[in-house]
Amino acid sequence: MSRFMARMRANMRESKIEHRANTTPWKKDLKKNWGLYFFILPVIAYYLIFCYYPMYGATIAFRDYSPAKGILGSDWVGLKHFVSFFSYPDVGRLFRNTMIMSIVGLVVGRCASIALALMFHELRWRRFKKVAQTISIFPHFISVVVTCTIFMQFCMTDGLFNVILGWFGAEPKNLLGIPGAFVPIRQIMHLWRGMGWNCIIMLAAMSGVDQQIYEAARLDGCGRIQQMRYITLPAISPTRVLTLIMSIGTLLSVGHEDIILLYNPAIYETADVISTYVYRKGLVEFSFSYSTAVGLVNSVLNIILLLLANKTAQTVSETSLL
Amino acid sequence: MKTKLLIKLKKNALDIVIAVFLFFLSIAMLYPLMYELAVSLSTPESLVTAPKIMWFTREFSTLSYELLFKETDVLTGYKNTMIIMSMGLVLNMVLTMILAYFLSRKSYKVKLKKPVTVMIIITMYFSGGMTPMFLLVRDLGLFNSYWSVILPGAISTYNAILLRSFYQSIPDSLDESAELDGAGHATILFKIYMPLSKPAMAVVAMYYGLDHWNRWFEPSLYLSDNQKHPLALMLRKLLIATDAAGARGMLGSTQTYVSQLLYDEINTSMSAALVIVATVPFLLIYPFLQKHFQTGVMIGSLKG
Amino acid sequence: MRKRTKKLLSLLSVTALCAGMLAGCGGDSPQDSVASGSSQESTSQETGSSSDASGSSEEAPSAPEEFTYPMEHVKLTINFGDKKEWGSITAEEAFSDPDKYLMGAIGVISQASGAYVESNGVTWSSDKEEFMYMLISHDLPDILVNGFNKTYKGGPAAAIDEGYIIDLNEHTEWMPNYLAYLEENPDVKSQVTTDDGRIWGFASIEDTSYTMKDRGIILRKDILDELEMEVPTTIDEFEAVLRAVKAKYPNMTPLSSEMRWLHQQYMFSCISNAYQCSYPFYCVDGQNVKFAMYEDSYREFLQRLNQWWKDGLIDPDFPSINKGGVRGKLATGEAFAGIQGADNSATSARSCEIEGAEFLAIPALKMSESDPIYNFCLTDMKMLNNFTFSVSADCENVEAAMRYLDFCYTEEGQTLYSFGVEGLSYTRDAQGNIQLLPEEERWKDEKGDGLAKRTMWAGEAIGGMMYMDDVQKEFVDVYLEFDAYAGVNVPMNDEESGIYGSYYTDLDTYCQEKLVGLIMGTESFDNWETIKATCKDTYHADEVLAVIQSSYTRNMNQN
Repeated sequence: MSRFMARMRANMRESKIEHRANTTPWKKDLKKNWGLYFFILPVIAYYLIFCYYPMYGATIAFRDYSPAKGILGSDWVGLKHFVSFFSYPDVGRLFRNTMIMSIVGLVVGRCASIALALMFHELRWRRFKKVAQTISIFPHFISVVVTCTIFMQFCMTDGLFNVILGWFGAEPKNLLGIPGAFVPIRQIMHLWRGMGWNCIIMLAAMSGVDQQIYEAARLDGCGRIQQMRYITLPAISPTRVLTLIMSIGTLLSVGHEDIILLYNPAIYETADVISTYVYRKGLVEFSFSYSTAVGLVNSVLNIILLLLANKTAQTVSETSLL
Repeated sequence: MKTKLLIKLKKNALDIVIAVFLFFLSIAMLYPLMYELAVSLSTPESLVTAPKIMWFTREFSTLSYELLFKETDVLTGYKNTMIIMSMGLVLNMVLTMILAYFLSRKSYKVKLKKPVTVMIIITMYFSGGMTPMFLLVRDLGLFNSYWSVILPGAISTYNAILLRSFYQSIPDSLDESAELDGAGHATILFKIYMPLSKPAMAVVAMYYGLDHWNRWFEPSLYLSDNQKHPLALMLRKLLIATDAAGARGMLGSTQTYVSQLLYDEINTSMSAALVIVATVPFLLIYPFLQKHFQTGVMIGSLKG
Repeated sequence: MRKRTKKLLSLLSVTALCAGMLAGCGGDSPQDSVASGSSQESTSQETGSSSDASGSSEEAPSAPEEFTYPMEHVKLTINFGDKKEWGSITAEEAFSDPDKYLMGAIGVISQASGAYVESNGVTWSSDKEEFMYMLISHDLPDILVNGFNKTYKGGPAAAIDEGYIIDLNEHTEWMPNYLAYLEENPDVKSQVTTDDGRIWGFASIEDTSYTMKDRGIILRKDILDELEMEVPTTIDEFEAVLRAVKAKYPNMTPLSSEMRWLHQQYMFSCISNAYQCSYPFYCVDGQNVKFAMYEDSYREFLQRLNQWWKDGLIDPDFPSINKGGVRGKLATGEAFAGIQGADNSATSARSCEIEGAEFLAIPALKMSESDPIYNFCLTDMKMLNNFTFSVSADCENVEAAMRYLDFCYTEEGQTLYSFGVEGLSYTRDAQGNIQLLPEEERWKDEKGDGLAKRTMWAGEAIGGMMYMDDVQKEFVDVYLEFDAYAGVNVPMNDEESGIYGSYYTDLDTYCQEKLVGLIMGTESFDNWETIKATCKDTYHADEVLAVIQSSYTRNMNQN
């Protein structure tokens, strides 16, 4: 235990040093690190060619894009598409629902995958563990369309969920017709689909923990629960914090594919999100410019959230993206 | 005797609780695949009146598999997916490792680290959209070649950052001593980091692999030749053909086999068959990857 | 020192590996693109040379009446999706083996016209990215199938100006049959002609008599008999039947339907017909277009549905059930009646295993026996399909492409497309009327592809009914009985579709949400006036109504 704590403290010290400003002059730095810089040249080239060069395309958010005129030749319309998006009377609802869905997804999804990873990590019956872990990734291979179909059947008045709710004396109802039930239902579906798959990264982080630390802890008389609490969880904290920061940076990006399949006008109140709205809009008038504009709004907000999260993480847990 | 059992039970209590929980979870997780298997092996007629929960086939039939292999180029799709995946994975892994290695350097030692980090993170949020990408792919002369779906997604920033966090947990002392021995960055990365981060590498490889496996949008744009389409795109086409709107117009040639009234059911069971056919290889490879992140690594022993 | 060299070497090798990969792909791909480019070229060369060889193309314009089909083997390209939609044999196979050539409708038309058309794999749906990128990259097939009139900014006129398609009026001599067809059908002509008089495409007209109006109420005749009730024709009778079913079989769902069929006009309005209205827009007097949310009759209709919902007459699953669900419920006997397409009803009827079950389609409900039944989906105009066949600006053999398309408007082409080949797929009776052979006797190739009605094509699709399953046909016949048109779905001009496009989605989202809320009782009818006002003030319902009115008036006056 003591040895372990010492190590953790040492780690923290190191990461504090990490944030020290680098004041070396560029010339000296280049001379010292030229080998490393040469090494990542192909990577930089990739980013410049495939990510930065095409970025001029984002300007279509400010234009009325027409394929014949090309991106740079299309008429400049300024903020027209942004104004049109924000003048939708229910735009507040779209943002609210998007945030609720992704925050719920973030909290529940992460807790579940960490808990599942801990279980797999702790279980000592190897063969059973192996099989169970393999099975847990199965649902991820089934396409969303199919998963949603299965789930819609579960939500019917005589479906599985109503059977289960019936044991607790609830009246059978079509669950997809109740606004309040949509977020939990979608979340359960996502857990079901993604829990096993998402826990793999945590599992990998756990298996990266030096076995000697566990031995030391056992010698110090640590029980299994204590080991979990004091070794495993802190040891995967860089991975946890990192994935957390990155998912906070995607809070406003909730995909539309599953929601389109599951929702209906009766539950727009809680189920309509930014992406589904843009999707419906696109069905009537296919507009690259409009969806690019909305995407741009999303990106800007997301990156603000990311920076906030990163700053917080830096001060709280010493881990950071930068 | 009784106390012995009790002690044993107490010792394993945690395992038992976990095992029971995981057992039920596994049943739930097994369902979708069993459902797809059941659907793919049922006659289309029997699917009309299928019950809400379906573990086993209704009326056994291999029609959907026959149709799949006769009507669509599943084997070509397989081949294409394999080509894209193998070429793509090598490129993905090498570039991602290099990037992760660079990102795991200390910023007080490497001045360029921070600018590069910012540069790659920006790309996670801002992109030019599909049109300039399409033009780029065409201008580079990649259009209709496998590279058009491999190169544009060669590095996933997310995966690189994940991998970086694993590299960061490798003690500095290791590469310091390696550097003293005169090892270059490539040697350090491939000889020291790679073996030490096997679990993370396995995960990242899986992430990339599944990405290649599921990718249909880019192929649909960049690969105009049917003979180059991967499995995922074929599945996508089957799935969207089930849409009510598309069905009427697209009465394909399969119609003549069975009454056209069962169009939806045939499509459903064919796509289920394709899901099964496409998933099985992945599940066969999985155990080999799995062992990498189920056994812990012994960093200490390597150090010594 | 040696260590340093080694370090450098390893570093170099890795970089070289990466660089090699990048270079490798750079090196490979131009070849690929050249290859694809050259195949494109060779196609056009082939077509060019073959038309030269035929000789007719150069001389034909001066003496059009001398032209006879088939042309000398010409190869053309088209964008019509993959081979599942289009057909799988290549031109080489087609020209070398006449038997193979017979496959599918394309096959026979190709054989008779002499032009073989291959799809380039790109879809015709103009709202798909694939299609857009085909335009962007200017890699166009000879025949460009498109929906420029539906989703393209500026419409077909812009597409001609921007150099994607050609103005067919420049070559009237190559489309005599089509011009004759347009003369007979001025409503079609107005749709394929731009405001300044250019013809932009060969129209494709579906067999409209059944495509839009093949949905309706289906119920279990055997249970009706058991209850000793008459077949209902008015809404009150129908309600009485539902109540009787509910009383006798409490576990049975009296009426099942997907949510959208209950209140949407474009698909169905078999219940709201009793109130002579339908969501969203309709026109019963041939003059004034009405917006359902503004009408009291529509409110009464919703109140009725709300009552049914409260009394458990409507399927509790109706918010989320899909067509497969409704079909299944009817087939398993969980539901007594349903609202769905005739094809789905036929599926229900065919897969129902209940002893003595008998399905019966009934016409749209009326308030009193003497009321008319309206068709809320259609006007009496022939409407273009979502895809129209234009000749692309890249086409090198315009004559062949136009002759080929024109062939579809000859009687021969029409018959080949709709019915196939005489003796192989149909026979004629003494009066010369076409009689399809029974499905199992019709000619099929080794892959099971039949001769007719396999793909969509320019021209008018006729005889769709003849290909229907017997049961389906029986149901459709019932739904097709209506007294008058009340639809308002007509082509809009640019300005109109601009306004419609910017307001309609939001309005529809709002209305649907409220409609469902009213039916399910989560929204009170006391708020009706507020809802009406919100439609008007916040969601621009007046503007949308105005453009629909103007497009309706314009189109109706044209005829």
